[in-house]
Amino acid sequence: MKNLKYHQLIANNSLNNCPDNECNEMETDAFRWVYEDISNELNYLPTFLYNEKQNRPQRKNSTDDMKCSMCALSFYVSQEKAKEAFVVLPLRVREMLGYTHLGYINISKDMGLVNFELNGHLDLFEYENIDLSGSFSIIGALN
Amino acid sequence: MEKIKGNIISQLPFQGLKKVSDLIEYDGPILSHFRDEYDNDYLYYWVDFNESVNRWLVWKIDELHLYKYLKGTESLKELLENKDKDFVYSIEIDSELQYKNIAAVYLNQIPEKYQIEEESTYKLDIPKLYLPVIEKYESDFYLTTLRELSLEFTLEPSNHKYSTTISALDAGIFLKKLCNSYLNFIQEDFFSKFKHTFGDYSRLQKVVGQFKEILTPRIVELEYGSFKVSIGSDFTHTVGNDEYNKWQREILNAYKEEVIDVDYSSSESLNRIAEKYEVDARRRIYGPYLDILNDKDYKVEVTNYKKTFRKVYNRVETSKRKILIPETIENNHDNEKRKLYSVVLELDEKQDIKNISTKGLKEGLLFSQEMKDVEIIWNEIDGTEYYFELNQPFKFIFTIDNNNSYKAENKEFGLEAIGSDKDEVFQNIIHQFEENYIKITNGDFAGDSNPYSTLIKNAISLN
Repeated sequence: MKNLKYHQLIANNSLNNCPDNECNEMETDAFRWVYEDISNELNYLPTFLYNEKQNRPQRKNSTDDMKCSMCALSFYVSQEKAKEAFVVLPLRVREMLGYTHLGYINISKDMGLVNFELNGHLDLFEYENIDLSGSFSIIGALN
Repeated sequence: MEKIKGNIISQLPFQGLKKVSDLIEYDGPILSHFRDEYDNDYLYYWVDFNESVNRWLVWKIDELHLYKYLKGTESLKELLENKDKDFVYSIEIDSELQYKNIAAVYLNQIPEKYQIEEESTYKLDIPKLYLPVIEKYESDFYLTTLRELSLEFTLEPSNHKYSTTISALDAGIFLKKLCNSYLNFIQEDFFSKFKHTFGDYSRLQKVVGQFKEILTPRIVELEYGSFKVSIGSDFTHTVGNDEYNKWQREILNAYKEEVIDVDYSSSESLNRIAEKYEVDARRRIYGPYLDILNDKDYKVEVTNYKKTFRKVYNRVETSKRKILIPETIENNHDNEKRKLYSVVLELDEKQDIKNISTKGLKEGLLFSQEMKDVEIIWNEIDGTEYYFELNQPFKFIFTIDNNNSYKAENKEFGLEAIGSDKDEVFQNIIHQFEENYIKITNGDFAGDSNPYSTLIKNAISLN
């Protein structure tokens, strides 16, 4: 079995059964909220590391908020779903999140494990030594 | 972080708070639903952060409002600003889940940057764990919400012969006119707001037609005594996109502002309406409503569900009415093509056909036929100077042409009279008949034989 890129992070936070058995390798189109500059390394960090890098506290209000998904990258299954999910956020929240653009990638089976969630959202748990930046493209602004 | 003005407290006054679900999340919670040990519900809404804490606004919410939010009929802004509370709590939570700087903040002290815009309705999939809540409120939610958004019309009779009751006929006509006014407003408003988005006019008409069916006023409350009826407008069935949904949710209120909450005694406000709407739209929207306000049998009062709005009316003066509906437009129906019908009536022997009622006409009608023209027969002629007793009937052909011009013609006597209605034509032909008779008696007749000599038995001077 291949190692996950952030297996140490998962272990350090005692996240059991992470990622769970529902996750699979698959090929799928995926869309992610990103910063306009495609080379910005923040575009390719899972939430936990993103917050650390930005010197932000982890956004939690309950003990069960340190979830497995914080060690994954968030995507949506379609451009429409990605935009819908963004525009339902109050403007203040959009501003705090900071994302302005929509990025596209064709996830391949060798990139990692995919987990589908509600509202067209999916998580990608990257495999070790995977660098997504070369496979990514910015396809437009979010607003 | 924004500076918070509030009263610092040591801890939240709730016990046993546990998260139920994150209603909105992205890489962590954004809007979370909590419940305390007494089953009270609370929302945590993420509004700010610095390098050590995230700040949340926390407030209590009842289950019905939570249901409305999940169903998309109440926005997050409305939940936050609901006046059922005076203040919310501001709390700061660090990465170790320690609560800091807890403050009670009055609604009007919430920093401007934390204000939520109107379009903050919930559009995501409803988490399955809320299905019991949805089922609980679904059955009476529709009626409850329609009532809350409704307008209440009270009709007070002009005289109290029958106490404060209103005749069923008046109530029926009132409802019909109100519906007509409202549905015409819907059509006008939808056209003006969305017609530019349609390339195909027939598609536009189809959508308007669908909305007029959906939005036909629903009766949501009824009382007699003084006749009270509350009118609501559907918000659940819809056609198309979010913009339409938003328009649909606001249309009854728009009608209230544009038609109901109008000072009909003010030329200024009526001129404003006249500038905004074309005459035909004004006739269709305001015509029926002005008829209601000027009905001699009752007076109208309008309120909303929470009684925060109340409108009473005086009769609308004719001069004011004409600002909205110029007379030529109002009488537009007179320009419609008039037709002649021959009818066969069955009447009782003693019934006078000249005094027959509409009901009698309907009941006695055996059959009818459209006529191109009709022969009118008079056995006597009552002029302005003479009364003529006739030896034989005087006959003429009566027609209405395509321009609604009325004509009476008798070729034998060379008479042809034209007028804008029946009475004018009859007066004209009598006048011609009389004039010719006077000419004859004065020796001015130039023909070979005098047709009047065989027709007229006696000409009795009325002077």
